Amino acid sequence: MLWKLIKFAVLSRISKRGLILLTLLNAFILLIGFGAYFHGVTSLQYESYATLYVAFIYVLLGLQARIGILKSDFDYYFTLPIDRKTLGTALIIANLIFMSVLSLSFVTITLSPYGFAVAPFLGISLASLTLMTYGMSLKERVAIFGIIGLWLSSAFLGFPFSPLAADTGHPIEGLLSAAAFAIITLYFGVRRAGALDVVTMREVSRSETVREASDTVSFTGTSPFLAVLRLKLHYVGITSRYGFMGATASVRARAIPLRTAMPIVAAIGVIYFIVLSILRASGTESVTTAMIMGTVYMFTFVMTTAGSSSVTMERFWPTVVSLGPKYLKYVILSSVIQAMVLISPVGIAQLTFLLLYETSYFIDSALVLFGYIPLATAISIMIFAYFIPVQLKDDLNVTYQEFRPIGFVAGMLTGLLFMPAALFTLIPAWVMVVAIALIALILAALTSEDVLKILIEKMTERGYI
Amino acid sequence: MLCIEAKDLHKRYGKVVALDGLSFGVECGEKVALIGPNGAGKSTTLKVLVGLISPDQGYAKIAGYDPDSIMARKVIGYLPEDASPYPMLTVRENLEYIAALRGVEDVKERVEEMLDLLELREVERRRVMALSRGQRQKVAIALALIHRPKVLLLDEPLNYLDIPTQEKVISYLNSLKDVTTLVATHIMSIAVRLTSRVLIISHGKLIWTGTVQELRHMGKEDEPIESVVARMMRGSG
Ligand SMILES: Nc1ncnc2c1ncn2[C@@H]1O[C@H](COP(=O)(O)OP(=O)(O)O)[C@@H](O)[C@H]1O
Ligand SMILES: [Mg+2]
Repeated sequence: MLWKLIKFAVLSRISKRGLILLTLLNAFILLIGFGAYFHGVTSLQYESYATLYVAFIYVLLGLQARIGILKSDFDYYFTLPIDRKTLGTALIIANLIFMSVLSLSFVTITLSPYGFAVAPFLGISLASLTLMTYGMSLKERVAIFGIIGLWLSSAFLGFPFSPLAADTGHPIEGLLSAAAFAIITLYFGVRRAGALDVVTMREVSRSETVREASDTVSFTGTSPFLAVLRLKLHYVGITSRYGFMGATASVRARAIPLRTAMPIVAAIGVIYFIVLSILRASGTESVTTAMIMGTVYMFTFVMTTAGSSSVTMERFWPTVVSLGPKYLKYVILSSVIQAMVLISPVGIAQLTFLLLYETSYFIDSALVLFGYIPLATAISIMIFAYFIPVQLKDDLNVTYQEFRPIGFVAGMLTGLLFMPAALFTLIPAWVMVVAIALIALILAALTSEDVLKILIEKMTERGYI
Repeated sequence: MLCIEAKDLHKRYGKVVALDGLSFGVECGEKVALIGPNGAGKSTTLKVLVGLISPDQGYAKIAGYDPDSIMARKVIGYLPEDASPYPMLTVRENLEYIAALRGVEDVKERVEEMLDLLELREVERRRVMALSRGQRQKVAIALALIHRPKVLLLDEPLNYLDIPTQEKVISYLNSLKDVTTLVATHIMSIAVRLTSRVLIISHGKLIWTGTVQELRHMGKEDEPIESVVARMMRGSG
């Protein structure tokens, strides 16, 4: 019975063909990882900094990845005359299958034998934590993943009882911690699975208890573009795609007022400035690395917010039909502005720091922040819209999305597109200027009415309306 | 003069042929129903007419203009099947947003009118995601009408509405005398209530057109109009 349910849960999210492709992709990632390792590549990052990267990605995925529940699960799956615990367990195992792709991406980052051993445990714990925190408020989840993030990064400071300590000279303690972490979270995750439908029902219907919206925005007396901009500067639409590279179709949406998000990102900016100042005391190399991480934070942030979700909640039937392809241009531009506002605290912290202490990198960093990242964000929005066109009809209810390798490749390419931004300390300013000019040209071509029309048509055929 | 024109429209989705040489015209001010079984190509036809997809072959014109021209967009009011407004916005925000995009001059009054017409006052400050399906449909209808369109393209407009609201919407649409209206539906009685002429399509092709009276006369004594249509569709294979 359980096996049948798992099969059902998996195949209701992904076609057989998609599943085979996903498996091949997994094998491929592993192969590259092993291949690189046996050719003497030990880490893609400065050795122990890899732990910080893994911790960062873990927290990011933990906050972003939600359990893959579809609207049809409520209609057809949870209504099956089967014990809830069994239903829930099948769902968690199905989710583990998808989570495996993500856990493998940890491996390719650390590229050490311990990384290979620890990755599955991290994958299991991530999937279990996703279940455990399901239905919690964003605040609670930020707190939980924040603590876990600190614990994971503690390996960087030499703490042995952290899963990532396996990479920093404490293999036994590290592996044991990772295994224990996985087992404990798995235990609670499975227990939680039994109550999944109840929790989800409560969460889905939660909006009903909020009768009147208190924080509203008015659009009277504005031009069309300003209306779009006002919308994007009032609400930040956060769409959590379960696996933003397009593995499954489960998408949840939240719209939080920008006003609520600003204090959080501002705090991150302040912390970033303090960290940079502390590191400055201990040598330039770590400052550079920290700045690269700050930049990676910024573009990962824009990629996972604006990049992948600025069109998921869009509606074409009242807008594109009113304004034509121009509307999509407004949406892209406004989303970029929104993303820039959200990363501005970290950007300002970085620029201020450079102006005060490391003026030689100031120009490069400013070029990246004001030129490269906004332009790349605009292009990433279009890439996601074209290759992974997900539209959220209402909560949990998305237009059909199939796992296609092209979507995965597009996700990867988007990541690569941002890479030059991370390498700003290595790239001379004039090269950056050329790169910016180049991508500005590409963007200009992509946002011509004709290309936008093709994009709209493609999205419409995929069920967007 | 034709306000809606479809000429030899062909459209396929991959291997599926959705439109297969569909041609028809709707005079300005005329109210016409596009009738056909599920999958006949009604929704696809409307998407072509509003310029969201372009046909593989053939063309469409709205008031003589290309569907994606500014002139056409100004006059079109479109309600898709299963329309969903912006879920995170309140009812009022939705109305104001679309009115702003449309450049509606008297936004405030127009929003009030729409709220009254569709009895949405009670929920104006609620987010659409917290509304029932029927309430959402009402918001969607308001969004399609807010700019006083001259050419209305409505896809199954009465879906999800309760009977009193259906009546209200029907009488409002009928009161818009000079508005050209094309209503796609698979329900004959809706066509009869809202329009005076029907276009029957099946498998992406036009198989019959005429007035509602003509359609009645084709039936035997007391034969329900539905069964006349059913007979005709069977005939088309
Ligand atoms: N986005 C789409 N992708 C693939 N096939 C589609 C799509 N939309 C419609 N079709 C197919 O095209 C045909 C016509 O569909 P549609 O225009 O929605 O019909 P109707 O509105 O009359 O029910 C159907 O066979 C349908 O399955
Ligand atoms: Mg239809």
